Amino acid sequence: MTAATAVPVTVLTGYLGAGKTTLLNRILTYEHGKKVAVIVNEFGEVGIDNKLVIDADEEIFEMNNGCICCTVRGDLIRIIGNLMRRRDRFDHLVIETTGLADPAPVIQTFFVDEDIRAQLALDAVVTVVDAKHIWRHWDSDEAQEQIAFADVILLNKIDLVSEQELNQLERRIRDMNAMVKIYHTQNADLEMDSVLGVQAFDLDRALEVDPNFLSEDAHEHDESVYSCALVEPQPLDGDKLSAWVTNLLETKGPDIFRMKGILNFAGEDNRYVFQGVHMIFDGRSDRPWASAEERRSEIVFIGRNLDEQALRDGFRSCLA
Amino acid sequence: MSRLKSATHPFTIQRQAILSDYVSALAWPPDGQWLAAASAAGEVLMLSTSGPTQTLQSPQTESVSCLSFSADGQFLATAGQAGRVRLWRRQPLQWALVSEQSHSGVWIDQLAWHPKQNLLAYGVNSQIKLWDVEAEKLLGELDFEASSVLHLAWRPKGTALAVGGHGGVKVWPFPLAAQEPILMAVPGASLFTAWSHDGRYLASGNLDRTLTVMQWHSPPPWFMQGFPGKVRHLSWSMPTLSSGVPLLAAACAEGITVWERTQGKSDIWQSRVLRHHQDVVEMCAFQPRSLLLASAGWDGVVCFWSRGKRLAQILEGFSQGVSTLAWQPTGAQLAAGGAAGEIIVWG
Repeated sequence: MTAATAVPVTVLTGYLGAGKTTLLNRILTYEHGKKVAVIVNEFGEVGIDNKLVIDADEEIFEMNNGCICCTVRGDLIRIIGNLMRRRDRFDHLVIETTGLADPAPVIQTFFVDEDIRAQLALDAVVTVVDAKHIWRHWDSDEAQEQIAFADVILLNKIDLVSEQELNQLERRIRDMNAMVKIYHTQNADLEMDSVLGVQAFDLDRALEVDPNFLSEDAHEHDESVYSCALVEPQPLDGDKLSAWVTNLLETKGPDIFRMKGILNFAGEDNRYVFQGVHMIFDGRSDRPWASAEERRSEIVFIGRNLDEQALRDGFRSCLA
Repeated sequence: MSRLKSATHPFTIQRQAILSDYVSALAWPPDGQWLAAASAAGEVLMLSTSGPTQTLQSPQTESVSCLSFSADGQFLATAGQAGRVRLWRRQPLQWALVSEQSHSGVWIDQLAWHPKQNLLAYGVNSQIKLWDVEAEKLLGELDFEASSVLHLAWRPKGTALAVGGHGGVKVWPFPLAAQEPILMAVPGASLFTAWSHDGRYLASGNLDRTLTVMQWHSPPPWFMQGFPGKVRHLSWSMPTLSSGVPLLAAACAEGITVWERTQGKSDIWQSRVLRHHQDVVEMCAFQPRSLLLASAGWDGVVCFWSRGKRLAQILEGFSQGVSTLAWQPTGAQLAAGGAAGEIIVWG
């Protein structure tokens, strides 16, 4: 009964009025030949005519199964469980969250619930940012989390801001989230390839980070949420790294929003790839290192109040 | 009284039918004269043991998720994605739609008839509606509060209603009184709640890979851990063992764990795991009045386990997974539904 090909899932976040619904309508128009199921948490805002729009109130469930302490979205587990019984009925699932929702429980649901994990694949978290009005919310936890967890950000309504303001916004977003792809849009108008089929949670995809960012040393950040990258050409000791990461997630898990990495272990011919969301860790051995490829480990953390120097020191202690 | 099947009298196919999508629910009334089936395509079918099959609902946009017969067998309730709870009444030759409660925009996937009265409980988000079918009025509303209602289970004599959801199982006494429900707390969320047939035990299968069992009026509960996945379905055996305690079967991942309370020098629950299914076990159900256990797997087979232990028979016939099971109340027949819409009745 397990699906041979997983149904892709797009998570849309952003404040009310940023342009989420406009983007959702573009997705539905673009995929007019496909069956798209949409789960919304604020039904009144949806101006779309789609038989598969399902309204669900956000329900946060705490999970405590031994190694994983996290929150998931109970409403999504229930509704998606029901929807998957008609799995030939939809090819793509879009989850539109409210502007006040924390994206973490949504993402964690796709790692933790065994049925959802087996049948669907989270494609990307897409955040629509109102380029002019985001500053009103800039210091709120919700705005920072929606930016920090995003794989794709639309800086929307760029016609309402100057180029200088836009550049400043982009620079500050980039400092928070070094892995996100940023697009400048009006009316959420962009190539749909940029938001669909992104496969941001697919471990097969290389870690894509601005090379300039990887070469940066620790520096001051404007925000409490920021990214930091660790790069290490010397091979790592697997046991040491495992112990360090385990301890790190136990002690700093709530502050680490997302992490991704490629690791070069001593004595291993294959790359090791991993990703994490708070305390959830998902990793595996990947393809062999190519002969022309520089063998080095790269990790990017996105989180709140991360102690960059402690992370660097901890990582260095894992050298073989 | 019909002869109970055992491994030496293997089950054979008695009847087959097909729906156009995933069979979401199957139910028999107490007299076993009908079999009702619902699908994710919104169909509701009524198969008769003596007459023609009646289509109560043809395929439509919205799924039907649950259906159940009243204790007197005169009513069938159905509900689903459309937010409609429909009530069908038995007529001399057929079933007729007699009333409908509409809750627009709410996917209703939990309903349960009171075991003695024509009173229907159903979940609307976090609310539980108690609908008196005879008087055609709402008898009461309860609020689970912590989350949507994930499961409903009446205590066998109808003296309490257990409601599962985030944080555990809340048990309201019935008739309703102005008192807070009793909470059997569980970590995470309770997915499936089951009372033993004598009403002495209440079990909860939990999302966070645990099982909670409480002896009613004798807390604290037992807490079983170490499951490989969420505990998605439970079944209590009707006969009890010599100890006076029934067996409890729990479906989790590809296995079924059968629990037995031993009250010797130490009072513990011991378990054994039944392994044969190649994929997730969706449901398990003890045959009424026996210890024969049936299990339905996403691997497309139904397995029979004699005395809740030994694999006795494997039933095939499903092109995809098996989605649901229902024993005829005498135990003479077993109906199973498939993810591709098949309905097979063995006897």
